Amino acid sequence: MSLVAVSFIFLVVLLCLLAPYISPHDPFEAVARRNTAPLTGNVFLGADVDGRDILTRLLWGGRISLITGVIPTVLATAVSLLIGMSAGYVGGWFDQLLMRSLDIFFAFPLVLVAIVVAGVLTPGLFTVMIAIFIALIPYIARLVRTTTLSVKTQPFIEAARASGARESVIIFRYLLPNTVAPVTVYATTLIGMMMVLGSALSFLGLGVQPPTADWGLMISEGRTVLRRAPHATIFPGIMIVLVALAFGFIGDGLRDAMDPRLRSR
Amino acid sequence: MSDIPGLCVRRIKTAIVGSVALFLAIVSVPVHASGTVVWGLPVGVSVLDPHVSCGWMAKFVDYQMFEGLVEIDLTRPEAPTQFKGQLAETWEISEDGLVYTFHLRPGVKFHDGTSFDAAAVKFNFDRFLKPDAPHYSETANGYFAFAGIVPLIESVEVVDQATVRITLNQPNNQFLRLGMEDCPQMYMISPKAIMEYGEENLALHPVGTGPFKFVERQPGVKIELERNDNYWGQPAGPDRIIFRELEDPATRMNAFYAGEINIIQDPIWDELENLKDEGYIVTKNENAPTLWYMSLNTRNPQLADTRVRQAISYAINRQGLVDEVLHGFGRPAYTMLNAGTFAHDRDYVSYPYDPDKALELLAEAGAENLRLTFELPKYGLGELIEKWVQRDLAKVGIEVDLVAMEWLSYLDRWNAGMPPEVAFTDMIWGMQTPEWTSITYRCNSQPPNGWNNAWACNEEVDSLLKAAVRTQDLREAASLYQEADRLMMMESAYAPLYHYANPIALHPSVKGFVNAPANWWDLSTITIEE
Amino acid sequence: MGLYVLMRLISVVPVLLGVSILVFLLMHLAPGDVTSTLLGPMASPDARAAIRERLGLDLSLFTQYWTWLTLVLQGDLGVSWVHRHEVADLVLPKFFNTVILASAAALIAYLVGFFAGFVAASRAYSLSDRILMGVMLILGNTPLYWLGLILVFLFALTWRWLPATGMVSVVDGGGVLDVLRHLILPATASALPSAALVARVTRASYLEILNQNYIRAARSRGVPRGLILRKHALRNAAPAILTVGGMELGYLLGGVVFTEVIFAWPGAGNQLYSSIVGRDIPTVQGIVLLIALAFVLINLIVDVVNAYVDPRTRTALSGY
Repeated sequence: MSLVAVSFIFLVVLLCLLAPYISPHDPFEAVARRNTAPLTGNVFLGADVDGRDILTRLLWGGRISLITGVIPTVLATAVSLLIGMSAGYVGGWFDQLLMRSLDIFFAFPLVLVAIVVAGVLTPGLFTVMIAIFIALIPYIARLVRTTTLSVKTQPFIEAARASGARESVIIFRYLLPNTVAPVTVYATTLIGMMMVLGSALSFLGLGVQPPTADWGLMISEGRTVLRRAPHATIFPGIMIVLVALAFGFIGDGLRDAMDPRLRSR
Repeated sequence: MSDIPGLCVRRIKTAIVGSVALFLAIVSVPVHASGTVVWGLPVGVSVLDPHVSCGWMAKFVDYQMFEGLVEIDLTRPEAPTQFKGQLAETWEISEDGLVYTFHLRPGVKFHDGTSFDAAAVKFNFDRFLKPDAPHYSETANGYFAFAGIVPLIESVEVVDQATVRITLNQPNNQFLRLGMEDCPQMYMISPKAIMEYGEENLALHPVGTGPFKFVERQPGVKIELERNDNYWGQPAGPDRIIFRELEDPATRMNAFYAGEINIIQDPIWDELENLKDEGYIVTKNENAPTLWYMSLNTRNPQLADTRVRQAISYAINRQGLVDEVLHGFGRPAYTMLNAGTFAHDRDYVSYPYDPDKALELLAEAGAENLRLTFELPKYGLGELIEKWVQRDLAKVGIEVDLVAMEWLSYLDRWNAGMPPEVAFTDMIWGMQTPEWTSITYRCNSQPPNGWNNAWACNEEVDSLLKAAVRTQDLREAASLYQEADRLMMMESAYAPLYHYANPIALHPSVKGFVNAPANWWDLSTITIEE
Repeated sequence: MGLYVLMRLISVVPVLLGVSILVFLLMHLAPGDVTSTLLGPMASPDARAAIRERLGLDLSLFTQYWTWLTLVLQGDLGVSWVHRHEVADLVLPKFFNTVILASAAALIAYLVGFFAGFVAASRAYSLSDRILMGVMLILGNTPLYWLGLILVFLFALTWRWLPATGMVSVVDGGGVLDVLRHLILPATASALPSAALVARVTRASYLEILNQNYIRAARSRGVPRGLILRKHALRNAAPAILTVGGMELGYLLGGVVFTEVIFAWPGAGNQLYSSIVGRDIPTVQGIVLLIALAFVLINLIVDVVNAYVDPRTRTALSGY
């Protein structure tokens, strides 16, 4: 299943990257009558409320939507590795200080953090990414710290230390690789969710701005004509579900690959 | 299910049947009750204190509860609107246009039971005119000063219990109309309520003399009014009015289709034809004083040449916009004197659609590779109008960047006047008085003193406008306003796009609604037929 | 146990203090001019300066924070800049409406999620397990705002079974049945994505426990499988299910913003959205503070209940 998912994501990424070359129309140009139904004339998946080709905008919008899912998650993972590993490895008051500060963020639901951060900044793609980035750090950092704590006490670390390995060697040769694995699994499952959240922010008007194509924004623009042109709302929604689903499968697959014990589930 | 004896099929069946029964019970609750108007408002309502509030929605709600001395008759669909005596039965204007004498209607009571008389009128005027009055409000003074009313009034005198005399310090034939606009509203509030609740809480307890009384307000959700059975005039048709604040166009539309509101203001334009097809009544008024216009920044280096601004006006296909985007619920606009004023000239066409002429003018001005910034507010429909303009200008080689903002951020910038790097802003606005062109065009109306945010200035226009408002001959006034308007249109600092026809859709059971040429409506004429 | 609860309570205090600082700061970092929100477009520079002074916007940040905090501790959340209304009066009834929606959604999420997970676990690896979990997986990855739109489209606009907006019928509404009718669509839209997670966790914890030795032993002794599932396994799977359930309730408190906007639900989320857009800072602060308080409280309760059900988690205090 995860192989299918990987190929699907690969395909979507490829198509979106190639959007300027393969999309049938210009994403901002009106090419048909407004709200044209699918399979009519030159618009395969219909036209939106501005008469723009939905298929084209799905391809272009995928770039933005994928970015809002992937980039902040990757960055948040990197920062969280730094925070979580230093907290877990150094321990003591340093650990307490960092973790107690993060506790404050756990007092807000993740979605709320993202909405408020996006709301106070000027709306735009960058804002969406910042909002998700900030909202994610506490969650990933906590996982990193827990993992670091458990890896730190593993016999092989003790062994390395006993054999006189330097701190940096212990951290980069032993600790980091063993921490990165579970965090990667977690981050992969998050990508799909964050893409959904990013599109939701754009849906509220706090994120990506028109005329940029973005799946969440397309839903938001489409819903004013939900009865007249349901296709404008339905297609981008399906894309979000499929891509989020695929990232979920990849996450599962990664976990199974890294931890064969779990495969029996 | 054989695998789980605990979850036997029968029990599941019972559960399913039970839930379906509950579901049906819930679904079959009746929805409608007679006599209630439920109106879906497209914009939130600011505070319900007429003297310190702005905005069409607040004026609309206040209109049902409050009354002025004289009011505009909104029971007729024709434009321009006519005056009718409300709290004043009759009034006279002296020949020099300076003294207004109002003969008050006897026996009128505020909703709190106190009597309306000349003292109450004076008390209301003192709230924004007399700094030593106990109830003087600086905010109210600011609002009335900005509307041009404070500087006009010399004195307000109580002649006797039923007569009030207002003296102006200069003639102004639009004095009455200035007080009938939304910002602020020259309504009579119960003096008792003003004293009792104070400025802080008055808006939560609006007490007027109108056909409807205030019941409750849930901010951001709804405002509920009920019929005033002690009203001095014709009792209102509906028992109750509920205004629902449904700012999201799609949600508002859904509420209407689902029968949860029976009148929708500003339905989604793309649904207008479908609404008619499904048997709803769709009303409009092509003479509403509601103009959608763009400001063309004269301080923008790329727009400094008048010919470039004229070219932009020629390049916009207004008829196409009205047909395609508005589905005919508007009229192309070629003048800043909107359709609701007595000075409007229906036949005047300043800039017909002529892209060739636009190209010619651009070439003459030597304007090449124009790339212009258009700041605009979000209004929930995806910037349909501005995108249309963007496309039309692209056809004559002008590239436009749209910068959409939240309404309040936008208003800040719009009020401040455009900085040189911005080329366009737009607004939907208008008043029933042609004096509106003064506050949007005169040289001294440039921000922060007015709304001339394109920084236009033409002294000839100024003197025409000044003369227009002073004369006592309205026909002469109309031609002076028109003359000023033609000069303005030559300057092309403002590009009117269309007169909005204020589409309002009604449930078939709603009868007697008049879509008057205004941006608020009289709801007392409505009846709901089952 | 008592000690644990006490410790857990104490640990909440610094968190709340931090929350208050964040809430206070965040909105003060927001761009935009407050005075035009308050005074309308026609305010003179003098009037603007006066209002800044009245609101204390010219004081130092720390002074502002201290004043604000002392007032908040007395239950005074300030006055809404847009509605000129006490924030507490404005927000509390709406927050209550949000709690109704979030609780209903949580209930649906638990019932659907638990039932689906239970059935799937008991028929693990069969076709019906796969279909059931597949559907749940799709729901779990569905944007709830999109789901809301589709539900409105089908149930309110096309079939006209249920209302599309609001919490009560504006005309003669307000009974329990009336609220229930209005609750179904928004609660379901909010619940289904969460139900998926509950289902997954339920299934996984059941399967894990079914593989434990004592369960195998019980089965080999001939205890019926249904009984095992209901009695033995439930008690042991409860902590995981509870934890994820508590988390979901917290998420729902944030996620209902979307459903509230789509369904015009008169809740705190809807108000939060319009207050953010309208830059009504005191109202935003009030709502965020309330939601954070509720979220902290939920987490506290979940931890305590978990500690009661599974004493092992009590020792995990240091690492929480």
